[in-house]
Amino acid sequence: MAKSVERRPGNCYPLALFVLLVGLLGLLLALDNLQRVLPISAWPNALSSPRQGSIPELLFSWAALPRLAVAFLCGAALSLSGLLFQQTLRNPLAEPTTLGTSAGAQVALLAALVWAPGLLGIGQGPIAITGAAVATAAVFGICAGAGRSPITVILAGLVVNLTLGTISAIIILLYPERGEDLAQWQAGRLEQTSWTPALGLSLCLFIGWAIAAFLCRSLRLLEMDDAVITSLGMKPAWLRGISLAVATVVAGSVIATVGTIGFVGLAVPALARALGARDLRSLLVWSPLLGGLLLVLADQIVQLPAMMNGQLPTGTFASLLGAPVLLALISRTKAGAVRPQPARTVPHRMRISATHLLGIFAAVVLLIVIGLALGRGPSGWEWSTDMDLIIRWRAPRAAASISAGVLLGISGVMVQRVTANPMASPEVMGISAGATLGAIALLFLSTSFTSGNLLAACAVGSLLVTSVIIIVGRRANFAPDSIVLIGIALSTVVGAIGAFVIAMGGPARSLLLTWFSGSTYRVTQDMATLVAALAILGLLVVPLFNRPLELLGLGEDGARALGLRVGRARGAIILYSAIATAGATIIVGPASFVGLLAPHMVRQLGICRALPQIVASAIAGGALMLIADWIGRTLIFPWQMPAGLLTALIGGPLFLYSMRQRR
Amino acid sequence: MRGLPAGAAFSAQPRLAAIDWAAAETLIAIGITPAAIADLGGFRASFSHLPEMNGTVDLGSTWEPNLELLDRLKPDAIYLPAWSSLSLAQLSDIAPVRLCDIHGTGGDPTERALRFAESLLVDFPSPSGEAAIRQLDERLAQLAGKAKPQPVFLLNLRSSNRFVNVYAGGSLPGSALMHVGLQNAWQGPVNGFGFASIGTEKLLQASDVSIVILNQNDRTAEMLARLNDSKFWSAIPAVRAGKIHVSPPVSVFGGLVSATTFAEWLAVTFDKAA
Repeated sequence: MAKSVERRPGNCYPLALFVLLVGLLGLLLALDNLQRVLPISAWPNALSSPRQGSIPELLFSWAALPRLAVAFLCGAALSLSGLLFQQTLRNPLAEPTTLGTSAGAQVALLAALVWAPGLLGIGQGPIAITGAAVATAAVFGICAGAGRSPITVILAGLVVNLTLGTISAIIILLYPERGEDLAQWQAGRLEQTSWTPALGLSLCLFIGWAIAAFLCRSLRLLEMDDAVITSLGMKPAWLRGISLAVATVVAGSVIATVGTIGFVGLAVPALARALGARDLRSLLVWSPLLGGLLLVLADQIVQLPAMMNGQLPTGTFASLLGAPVLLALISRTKAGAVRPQPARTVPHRMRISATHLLGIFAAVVLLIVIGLALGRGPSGWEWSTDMDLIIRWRAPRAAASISAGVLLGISGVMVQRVTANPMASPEVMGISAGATLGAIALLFLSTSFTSGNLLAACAVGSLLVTSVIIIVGRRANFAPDSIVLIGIALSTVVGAIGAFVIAMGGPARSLLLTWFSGSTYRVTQDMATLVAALAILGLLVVPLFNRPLELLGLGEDGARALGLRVGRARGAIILYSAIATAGATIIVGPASFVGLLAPHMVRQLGICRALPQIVASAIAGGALMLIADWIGRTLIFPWQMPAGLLTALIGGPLFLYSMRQRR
Repeated sequence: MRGLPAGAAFSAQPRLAAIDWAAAETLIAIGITPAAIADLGGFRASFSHLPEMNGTVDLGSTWEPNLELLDRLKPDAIYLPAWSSLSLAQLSDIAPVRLCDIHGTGGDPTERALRFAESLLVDFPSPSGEAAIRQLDERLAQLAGKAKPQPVFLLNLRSSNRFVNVYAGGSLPGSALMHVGLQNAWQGPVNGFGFASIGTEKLLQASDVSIVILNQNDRTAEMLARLNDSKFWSAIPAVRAGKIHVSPPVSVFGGLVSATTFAEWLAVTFDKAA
C-alpha cells in the first residue's frame, strides 16, 4: 500500500527467508508424498522414460508431478493477477474472487456445459477467460463513474459475484444433474491426468508476467493521480486496460484449469508487502514465487494421508488458511485505505402526506390479495377462493416472505446508516453467512433433523457471527469499513465450506442448494408465526433507535458533541440488525439482496429521515419478497423458483444499475 | 391426518404420489402407475425402459415437490425418500407418508429394495403384483454368486476426465455387484449415497481390475467420445487389457427392478464360464 511516490528501498530479507521456509516445507512434504507414489530410487528411470512405464511410474510422472507443477503455477498466477488488480485499482482488497472475475469464468463454463457442450471441445480456457472478462468489465463499467473508490469496487464485485452465483444456482435448479460438475469447479481440486493443463497455464503465466514486468515502470505510476500520469506523457486508461486484461486472462486460465481458489490473490501480495516488499518491482518478483510455493504447500498438506484421504479440495483448504490473513489484513488496514463514501444529499425530499399513506396501504392490501388468490392449478391459471387451500399452503409462505422482507428492509437501513455507506447491507455483514454456517454444522451433526432444529442452528450461527463482529468491531469502535470487511471475509469462507459440502454430493447436497437459494418452501405455520412476531416486534422497537440514527448521520464528532455514546449506540444497532437478519435469513436464505434493495428504493423516492426511511424500507422489503414468492410459486409451475433467487436475480442487476447512476 | 391410517389396505387402484424414484419404479413393477411423480421428466429420462405414463402428473423438483398441487391431487399415500425427511411434517398433513429407505440410509440397497417391494405387497395385495415381485426375487436369488469373483470398479463418468464417480457398497449398483459375487475395487470413503468423486489417477493404482461404466444415456456417450483422446485413460490397466465394459442404461437411484436387471447384466458379463 505504498501511497507516496518517494519510496524507501524495502528490506527483503524477511521475505526471502519466509519464501525459503515455505519452499523447504513444501518440498519436504512433496518428497514425502511423491515417494509414497514411487520409491525415490526409481525416479531417474521414470523421468527418463515417462511413456512406457509401470503403473507407479506413470502415476509419478503423469499425475503427481503435473499436480505439483499446476499447484505452483496456479498459486503464482493468482498472486500475479491479484497484485495487478491491486496495483491498477489502488485497492488492497482487489483480487479475482472479490471482483467477480472467478464467478464470471465459472458461470460461462457452466452455461457452456449445459447449452453448448460442443464448445468445450475448443477448450475450457477461452470460455472461462471470456466469462471472466465480461464479469470484470461489468464491475468496472459500473464503478467507472463512482470515482472507483476501493469500497465501491469491492461492493460492486460482491454484488456481481452474488448475482452470478444466483444464475449458477438457477441453472443447477433446472439441470440438477449438472450440479456436480459445477460443484467441482467451485471447490478447486488440483488432480491432474496429463501435462497439457500445466503447459497451457505456464504459457499464460509467462506471457502475463512478461507483460507486467515490461510495463513495471509505467504501472508504478498508477499509484499517482491520473492528471500527473497524463502530464508525464502516459495514457492512464490504456495502462489500466492492459494491466486489467493481463490480470483477467491469467486468473481466467487458472479457473479453466482447476476451478476457483479464493484468497491467494488477496493474501499473497499482502503477505509479501508485510514482509518487506515495498515497491512494485520486488512485488512482481516475490509475490508469484511466494504464491506458488504457498499453494504447493497447501496442496501437499491436503494430500497427506492424515487429511481425510485426499478428499479435501485444495481450494477449500486455501480459503480456510487465507481467511485469518484477510482478518489480520483488516485489522492492519488503517482507516482511510478503504473509506466509505460520504452520504450525499438527495436532490428532492418527499413529504409523506395522508394520501400517500392511504395509497400505500391500499397497494399493500391489493398485493396480498392477489398473491394469495391468483395462482396456477392442475388446469392452468385460476382465481382461487378455496380458503382452506389458501390458509394451508399460501398464507404461511406469504406471511413469512413479507415478514422476512420487513426485517431485511429495517436492518438494511440500520446497517447503511450506521456504516454511513449506502452500499452496505445485512448480507454484506456476514450475519447471513453465520446462519449458513449453523445449517452446515447441523448437517454434519445429524442426518435426520426437523425444520425446528434448522431454525435453532441458524439462530446460533448468526448470533456467534454477531458476537465476533461485536468483539472485533469494539476494538475498532465499530468503524464502518472494518465491519463490512469482516463480513466479506466471513461470507467468502462460508461460501468455500458450502461449496465443499456440495461437492461431496450425498443427501446434504440438495438441502444446502435449497438453503443457498433462499426458498420459502419449508415454511410452516409455526415458523411463519414466529417470523411475523419478530417482524412486528422489530417495527415496535425501531422508534427507540430514531435519535441515535439521526445523530450518527451528523458524523462521529457531531454525534459525540450532542451527547451520544457512539460506540455503544453502534453496537446496539448492529446487534439489533443481526437478530433481524438472522430471523429473515432462516426464511429466505443468505443472498436475497432485499436488505440492499429496499433501502435503496426508498432513498430514490427521497425519504431521508431515519424513522420514515426505516418504515418505508420495511414496507418495500415486504412487498418485494411477497412478489418474488408469488412469481416463484407460479412462473414454472409445478416447479418452483426460490424467492431469494428471484430477488437476487432482479435485485442484483437493479442495484448495479443504480450504482452506475450514482455519480 | 386425512386419508387411510398407516397399515390399512388400500382400494384396488390407489392414487399414489412418488417423490422417491425407486418407490415409483417398484410401484410400476407391481402394476400401480403413480398418479404423480416428482421431476417426471428426469424420471422418464433415467428409467427409459418404462412405458408411457400419460396420466401421471409432474410434481416439480424432487427436493421441493409442489405441496399445493399434491394436496389438490388428494393422493392416498406419498412415498418419500427416507434421507429427505425434512418435509415429512408438511407432507403428513396431506396424506400418510411412507418412507422409502432404499438409498442414503446405510445398509444394502438391493436387500432394502426387496424389503420395500414386500412392504408394498402388504399395502396393495394383488396376485399379479405378488407374482412380479416373486419373479424378481427368484431371479435375484439365482444370480447370487453367479459371477467369477474379481475386483471391479463401478464408474460414472464426469464432464471433466480428471474426475470420476466411483460407486461402492452403499449404492444400488455397488450392492448388485456384491450380490453376484464380484468384489468392489474401491475401498475408500464414500458419501451417504455410496459413491465418491475421485481423481482419475486413483484408478491406476489397482492392477488386474475390470471397469464397468454405468451408462447414463447421452451424457455417457458424450464423455466416452472425449475419453478416447486421453493418454492417461488409455494407460489405466483395465483399459489397456480391454477389461472395460459399458453397461446398458442403469438408474443408480432405482429399486428392485433396476438392481435385478443390472445384476443380471453383471452376471452375464462376468460369467463364471468365461
